[in-house]
Amino acid sequence: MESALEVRNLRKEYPGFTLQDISFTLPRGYIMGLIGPNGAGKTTVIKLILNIVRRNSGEVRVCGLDGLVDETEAKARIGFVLDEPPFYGCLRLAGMASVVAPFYKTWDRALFRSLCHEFDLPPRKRVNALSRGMAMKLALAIALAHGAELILMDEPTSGLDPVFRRELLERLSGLIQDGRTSVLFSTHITSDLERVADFITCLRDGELLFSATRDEILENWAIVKGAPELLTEEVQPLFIGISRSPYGFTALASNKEEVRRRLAGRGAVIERARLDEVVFFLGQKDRGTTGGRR
Amino acid sequence: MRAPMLNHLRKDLRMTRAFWAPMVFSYGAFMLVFFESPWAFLAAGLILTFIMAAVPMAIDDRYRTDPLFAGLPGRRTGLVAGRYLSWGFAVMAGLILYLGAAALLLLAIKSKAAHLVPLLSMRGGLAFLVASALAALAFLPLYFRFGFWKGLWIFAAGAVCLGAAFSFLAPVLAPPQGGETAGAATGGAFAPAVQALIRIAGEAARFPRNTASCLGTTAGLLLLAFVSFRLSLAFYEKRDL
Repeated sequence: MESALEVRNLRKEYPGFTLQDISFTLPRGYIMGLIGPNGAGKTTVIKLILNIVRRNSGEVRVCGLDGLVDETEAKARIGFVLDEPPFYGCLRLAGMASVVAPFYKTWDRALFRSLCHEFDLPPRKRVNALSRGMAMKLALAIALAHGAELILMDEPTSGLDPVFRRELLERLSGLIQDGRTSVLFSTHITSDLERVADFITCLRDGELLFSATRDEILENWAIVKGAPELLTEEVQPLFIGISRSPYGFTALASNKEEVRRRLAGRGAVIERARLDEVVFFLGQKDRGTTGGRR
Repeated sequence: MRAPMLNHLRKDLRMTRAFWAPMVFSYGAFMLVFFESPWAFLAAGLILTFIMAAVPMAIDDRYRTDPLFAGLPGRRTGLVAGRYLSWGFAVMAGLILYLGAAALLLLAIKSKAAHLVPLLSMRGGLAFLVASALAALAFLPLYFRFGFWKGLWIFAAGAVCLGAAFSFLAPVLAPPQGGETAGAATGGAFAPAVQALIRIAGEAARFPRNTASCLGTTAGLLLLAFVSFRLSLAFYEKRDL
């Protein structure tokens, strides 16, 4: 399967934080969601792909092009939406587009106008008069107006009203239908991922926890609930995160079948894991327990 | 798609469009204020040109657009080269405004502005260009290393320190000539330094006008430009935006 984005052993060191050798692949024509708690390194990964932040080591390939050697060509295939769109507030929308357009040889003015129309963006309005949602729409219109093959979006749905959030997600699903365009977006909103993401990559404290298909996660991972006495030393290693209470425990397991086999007939409840539960348990820093006796 | 550095120049021109008319007015107003001394006239022209060249950077800093342009097709080399090109463009525009202001003053009040005639020569224009270029070549690496405001403060502090050191050393470098007495023209404790600076400037104005000296100056400036550009690039290449 041809890949739109390949990230290999990407590393970035800051004082007090290190993004540690992240690797994942996004095939062409798919959507990947990047999740993780605050400070996990999601924005850093997106900025590293765009070379806005300089990597310490590792490799990024965009549509087969090396992100450093073929930097200009690789970036020409990317459309991006940053968390805080860095636009000139004093310009009108059309003016902002005219600043960006010359950088892309495939810029389509007619497409930009039609996207503005579709997103209800008045071209005569000034950028600093836009709400966050409108600014996000402008960023998206700019990202799409040059026929990008890879769309990178950093928290595009945060701060958006539910109606436009849903429209945006539908738009992203529509984008990949050509089999050529791929999307990587970071988010905290796990319901967005469940709705559109084909692949999910999860980070915590700069480490890659997993990168897998959504179906693989939802089918193989499980939430296990049971009485405290079930939580023996043999069973505990099966769980990634455990939440204890005086009456029992709730835990996340990445191998549903193994848990089912080991706890069969012992009164444990094994449920399909939702993404928000996965993120909750994976987000626990000590990778062990939470809660406690009260 | 044009070269990224041309796109950056175009972007800077687009963003500063609203400031063109006020800048032209400022040149007229300030030059009128400082026309009585050719040195003050030259200094006002240089400072206004520096401000004009720095405006696009201040705007980019205000809207924090560095990540946007770093993410667009192109390399950091193009961003750095674009800044140098944009600065060069501003200096040429400043030169035209500076010479234009001097010419207009001469036309309007020739009797009072006769001392500006030397500034309208090739040598006067070159002095303006060399001084502007030196300021730019010193400031731009600081900008790329520290960002706009911090870079500007360091540049200004450096210029003040250099000026103070030069004023202190000037009487030693250019001692009073026979018949000249300290404090004769300008009163106060700074009089010897001011007079010495004027003597040094006068010596510089009499710098031999031959091919070798012109080639030497050009080569020196080109070398400085190369060093400044490489430094800027080295700083900006490493910066996380």
